[in-house]
Amino acid sequence: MVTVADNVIKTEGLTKFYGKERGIVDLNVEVERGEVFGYLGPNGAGKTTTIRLLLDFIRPTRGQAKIFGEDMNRSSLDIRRRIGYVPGELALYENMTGKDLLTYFSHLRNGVDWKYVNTLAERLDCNLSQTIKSLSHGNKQKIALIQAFMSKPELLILDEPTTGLDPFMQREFYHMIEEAKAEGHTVFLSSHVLPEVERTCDRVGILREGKLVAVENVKDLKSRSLRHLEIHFARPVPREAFVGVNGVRDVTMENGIMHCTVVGSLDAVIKAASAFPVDNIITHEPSLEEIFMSFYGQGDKA
Amino acid sequence: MMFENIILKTLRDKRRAMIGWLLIMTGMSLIYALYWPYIRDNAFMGQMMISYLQSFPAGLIEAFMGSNLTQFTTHAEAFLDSELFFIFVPLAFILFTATFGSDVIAGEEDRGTLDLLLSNPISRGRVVLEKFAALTSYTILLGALLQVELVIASVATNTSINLFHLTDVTLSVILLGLVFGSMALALGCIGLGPGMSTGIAASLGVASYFINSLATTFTDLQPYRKYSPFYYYIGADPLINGLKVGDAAVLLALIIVALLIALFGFRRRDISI
Repeated sequence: MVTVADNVIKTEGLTKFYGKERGIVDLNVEVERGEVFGYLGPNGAGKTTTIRLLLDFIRPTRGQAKIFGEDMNRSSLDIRRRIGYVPGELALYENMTGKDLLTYFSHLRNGVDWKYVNTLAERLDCNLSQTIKSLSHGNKQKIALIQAFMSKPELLILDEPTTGLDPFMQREFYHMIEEAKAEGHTVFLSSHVLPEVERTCDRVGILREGKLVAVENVKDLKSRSLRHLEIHFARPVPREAFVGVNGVRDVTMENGIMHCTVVGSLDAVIKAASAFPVDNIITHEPSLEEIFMSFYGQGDKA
Repeated sequence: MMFENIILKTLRDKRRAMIGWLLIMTGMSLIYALYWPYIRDNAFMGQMMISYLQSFPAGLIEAFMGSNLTQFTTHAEAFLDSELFFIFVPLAFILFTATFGSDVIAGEEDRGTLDLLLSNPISRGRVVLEKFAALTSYTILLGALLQVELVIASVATNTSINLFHLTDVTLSVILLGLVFGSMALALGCIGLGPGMSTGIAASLGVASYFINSLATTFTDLQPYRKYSPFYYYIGADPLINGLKVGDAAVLLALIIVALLIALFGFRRRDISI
């Protein structure tokens, strides 16, 4: 039976309780073929629970999910054949080398293209001949990434995939995501940092305390993004110069150092600042909690 | 190639444990096997040993050495039965299989690698079956190597041993080991941790030993003897009388039940991180 599905992932009322403890509640998510979907939420919001449900490691309390149009539990084997996965709590076989581990998994997947594996290892600057227990956390993460990408799966399910990667490797990883997307593959990526999701994803689902509070296009998200800005001027500048500038809030000025919060584009505030001699500009990413508050008030609005 | 499937990978992971137990078991057995001719050829020594043993309460000796003392100095089988196959070899097998059985699922789950393994397109049932196959392979190998060693020792010491009966007792001890190994596997599969699974299976193994061996002295225990897997292992004395097929079948049935519980339990439950 061939099921034609535009949705690669579709969950309906997906709910998981661990005893009385909340995992996720009534989750309805749809991820379209070929899109990069970010799954954003603070630690403990239920991202890993969702992902482990999708892979059939745990079973829902109620509700269901379909992947490639097939029931995630009944057709789990066929589904997993087409999925690459990076776990959130990474644990590898410590006494193997990276090469051993990839060999093992390639056999369980009936073979992979080793030329591609070696390319991935080179790109991520990952030494596959070292025993895994001697590797740093970042290098272990690279092996997890390689095993997820090596079969060129139609769907990548990645639970906080950039954990432990240095910025340079993160950039390489973002390229790998772009390439997967270019081949028409779908990516479901969880993260607890907004900039990463903004950088890689088409759409973002925002998870809070087990509930999906919003699904947004990254473009819309960026237009409303929140940033703390700190500008150091060479000499004192009147606070009034920035009050009322488009998107600027909470302006304070002290000894030529201005603090403010900017919603959306930085364009207006930078142009206003350009009238004065600027020593330094520092932006601080707000915490996810602040973003939720600014977007959704108390977060009750779904 | 050691990574072609879960069986080979598991055998590779367990090779050190296997070699360790093999050395313990064959070392211990070799001491007894080489010690035997000394008793056989030296009537005074043999008599000394028997009277020494008889100075203990009969129940105590039966509990730890079985009831073959009278033939102890004249029949190599009786000697090996009392010294090796009554307590040492079976308990070593049980410890080996119980740690192995609990480690393959519960241990891997505890170390956190089970998620990644199961993200591959393999069913949970296949994972359990392949791990069980690895457990069975090493248990059989351990038994076979022990037998080879005893045969070599018997030739070297010019001792005649009934090879068929030696094979019978080896087969029995393999089955006994697999009973508690598959029990530990099943306990891990239904969600117990590695320590609990090993602990429960090994304790039941030891308890089963005591129920069987003490039952000959304490008649109150007699009715419970048939619930002890040890009874089906050594009750009919396979090294002396040959394998009792019915007893072996009971052990085999226990293994199958444990394996079914393992398969069914593992298929249904949540994997913990």
